[in-house]
Amino acid sequence: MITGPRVMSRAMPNRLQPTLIAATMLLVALMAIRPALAADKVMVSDPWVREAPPNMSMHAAYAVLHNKSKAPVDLVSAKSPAYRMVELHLSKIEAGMATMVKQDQITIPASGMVKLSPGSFHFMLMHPRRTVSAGDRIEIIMGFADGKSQSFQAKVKKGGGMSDMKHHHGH
Amino acid sequence: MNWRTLITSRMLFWVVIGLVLVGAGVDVVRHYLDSADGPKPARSAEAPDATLNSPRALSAIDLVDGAGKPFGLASFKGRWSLVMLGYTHCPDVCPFTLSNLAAVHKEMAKRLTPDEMPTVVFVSVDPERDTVDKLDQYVRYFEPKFRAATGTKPKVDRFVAEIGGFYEFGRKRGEGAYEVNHSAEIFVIDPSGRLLAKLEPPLKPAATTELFRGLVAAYKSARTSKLAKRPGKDES
Repeated sequence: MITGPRVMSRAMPNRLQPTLIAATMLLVALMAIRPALAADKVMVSDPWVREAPPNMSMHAAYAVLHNKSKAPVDLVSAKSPAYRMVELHLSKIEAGMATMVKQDQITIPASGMVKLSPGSFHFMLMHPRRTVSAGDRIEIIMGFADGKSQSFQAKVKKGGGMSDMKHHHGH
Repeated sequence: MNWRTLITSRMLFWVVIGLVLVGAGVDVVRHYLDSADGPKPARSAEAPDATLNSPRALSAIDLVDGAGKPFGLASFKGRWSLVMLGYTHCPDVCPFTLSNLAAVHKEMAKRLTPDEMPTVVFVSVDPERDTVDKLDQYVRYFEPKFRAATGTKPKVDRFVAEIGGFYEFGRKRGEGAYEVNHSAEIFVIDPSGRLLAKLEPPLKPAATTELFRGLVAAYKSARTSKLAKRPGKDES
């Protein structure tokens, strides 16, 4: 059994060796990247920013945040290079009242998800540094309780009423 | 180069391939498990609900519209109105409701006669930040036919009390930001200037249009019977 590889390696022409080493290095590099990808505990799906009427200084961003880990993840802050300030908020439409309260954190349950959507949790984007309009891509950087951060891109969309949201889910 | 180096690099190659495959396998399985309980469809919206009161006649209303012109009781008379309270520094609920109202408006335009078509009026309860020209631009973004109105705080308070609405300012935060909690209902005002109903969100185009048609039909038949009774006073 032990002689097997020896025989094979002896049979292998020497000029193949650089290729082999390069392939190994490439795989090692891939291995190094993989844990970095897996370190994103949160998977972001369906991100979007609601386009606001012109000259408005407040925008809202939505997404579904999936927690891939076996422990709850606390989202504690957010920022964006496109805005001077970003906060976490919760709106409610209940018993005929619309309320909005700033949140210190949004907890994503272990192996679960939180849906940031109109009339519920959202990223409140304040004081845009430039005009934000439909089609733009906005980077949002989420900060977690463990000090780690993670960013995602959200496309700015016009509309965003109930009937438009059906289309969001359709794609 | 001797064969030992060759074996080492070959073994390393396969070990690395093995690790990558195992890693990828774990990712695939995890992804599969995630998607099994992954994105769920949005909570199905309930049908709008009209809180029918006995119609309440509105009295003094003294607001200004998006053009800075007086917006009083006369502006409500002779046409149907759907009134919404809100403020433009509201990035979530207000644009969401206005987008839904725009969809309702579009549906109504298909099914109502021009005299039945309601005017959507967005009344800002935050006049300090919402100037009339800003308000006008704001509402027309959602639908060019929408109108805006506001006034000084006492006048807004008076109007809100008239329609049985509510609002309150939240605590001021950094950079002077503050929230305003407010009624989320849509107030239906009939062409006689009476508050007729409150529509509860969410507003679905077909269901809300149907409900509104019912209100219009009831209003019309009440008017018709009232008119019909007039000549026959002696009978009653």
